[in-house]
Amino acid sequence: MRPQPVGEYELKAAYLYNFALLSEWPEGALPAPDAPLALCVLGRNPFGPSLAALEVKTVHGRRLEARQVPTAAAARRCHLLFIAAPELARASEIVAALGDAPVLTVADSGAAERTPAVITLGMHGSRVAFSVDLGAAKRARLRLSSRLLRLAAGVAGAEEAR
Amino acid sequence: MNGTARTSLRGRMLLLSLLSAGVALVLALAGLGAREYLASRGDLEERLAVLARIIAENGAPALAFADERAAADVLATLRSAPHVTEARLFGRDGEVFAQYRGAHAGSALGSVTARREVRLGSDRLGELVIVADLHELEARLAGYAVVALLTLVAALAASALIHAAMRGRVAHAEEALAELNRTLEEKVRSRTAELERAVSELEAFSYSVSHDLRAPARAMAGFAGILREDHGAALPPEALRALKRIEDSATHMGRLTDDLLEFSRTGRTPLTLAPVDMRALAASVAQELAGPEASPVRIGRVPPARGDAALLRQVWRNLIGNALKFSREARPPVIEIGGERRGAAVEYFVRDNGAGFDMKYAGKLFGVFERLHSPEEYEGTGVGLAIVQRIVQRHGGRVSAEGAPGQGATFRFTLPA
Repeated sequence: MRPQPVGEYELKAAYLYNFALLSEWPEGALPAPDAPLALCVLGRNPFGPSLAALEVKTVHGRRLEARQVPTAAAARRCHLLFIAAPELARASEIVAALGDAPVLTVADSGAAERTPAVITLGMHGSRVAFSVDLGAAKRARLRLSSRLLRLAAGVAGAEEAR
Repeated sequence: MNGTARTSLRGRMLLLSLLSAGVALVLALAGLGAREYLASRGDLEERLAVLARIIAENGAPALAFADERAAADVLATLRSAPHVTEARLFGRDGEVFAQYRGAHAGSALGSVTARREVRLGSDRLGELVIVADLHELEARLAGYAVVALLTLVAALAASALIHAAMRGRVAHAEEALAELNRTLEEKVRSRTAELERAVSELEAFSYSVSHDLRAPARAMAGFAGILREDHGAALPPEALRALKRIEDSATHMGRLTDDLLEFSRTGRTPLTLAPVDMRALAASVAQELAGPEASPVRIGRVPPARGDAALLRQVWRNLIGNALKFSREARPPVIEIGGERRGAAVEYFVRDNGAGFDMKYAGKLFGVFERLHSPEEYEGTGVGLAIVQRIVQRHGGRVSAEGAPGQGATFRFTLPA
């Protein structure tokens, strides 16, 4: 394994961007082409300046906009919601509050345990890894690229999604 | 052409035809081979480019998530493309992120390389390089070479067979031609001898016929004359007329047989060649035929010739006699005689201002018994000019005539000088 030359959250910020690239939102869920795609963080922002650095990039033809949201209700207008580690205890609550809103939820979990989010970020040894919950993705009406699934350390909810 | 020369010529021809066929075929096959190589190589490059695009697309997330194992897995799918010898996925920093090595070790024809940027969204993540060898192309070219070689051998064999078949027919034709040449001369010789024999038999026959007819013709004319003289008073005028016709016919028949004998003799007696003073000869004949006084015959320059004097006298006699006969109606008749040298020959002419003839009958003038006028107009047997032609031809000369009705005629003959 190569040593990680970048910090953990710098890497995770890049991952968020990749997740957005390899996910498809339902028809009409994306903003107008000139409006930004909202990349939200619920809880304390662990990324530092790495998140704002993503704003120069584009996803599905739209630029990114990093936001900090205080509540799950406010997160319904987000396209991607990062649930920071300190908020994990409330994860079920947050996901339930989002309902069928097309929000790609990504939970930051230090240990590789499962969360109710669509994607769970964790560490695999010294490496950042992620697992995917297809049931949660289906509920949020999101489609994840098979290329993303192939890289996932675990895929759950396949039966439910079928 | 002797045997060995012909054989070596044939050998060279065979070699030449095989060589030209072979060169043409080799060029054509080489051209097709080059085209096959270029097309196959282009095809391979295109397929490799498609492969690179697919692998780059599949490998992009692995690079994005820095998943080396996944990247290696993606590259490992190249196992299904056995011509790929090597593939490398470079990260953004230019370092090799993952690589793959195929089973093959490269080919003599070299390799083709495809490069492809690896992108995800707007991010350039790195580069993919795929190298493929040309084993497949090598195998294809080898197969092509075998087919080309077989084609070449088959074509040359066919060419040699055709050549051999043709050569057999040509040789056959050549032999037939040589055989024909050999027999042709023999045939000509034997036919000529046969012909000469036939002609001399015919002449002997006509001579003996003429000779044997002469005595009865004389007898008829003689006895008819006696009958008329001794008993003419006792005969009615009708009988006298018939008697006159018998006498005339017998006399004419006698002349005919005489002339035929003469004609026959001119063809049979051997020539006695000597220099002849043609002017003196012509003058003597003219005096003999026209008399010494008031002769219409004008003799100009007449060069000498070489020939048989007796026969040439006969020529003058017949030509001058004819001229006198056909110009007797002219007022006054004029007959000119002359000659001049033309190269190795001398040409003589006898010109009159008499009845002349139509040029369309010029070809018939010299035939035996050919007459352009009736015996009532001008007496004669029609043998005189035939005798002239025969004598002149026996001397190696030619006769000709020109004229027009009522404007006289000119007869020409040539003799060696």
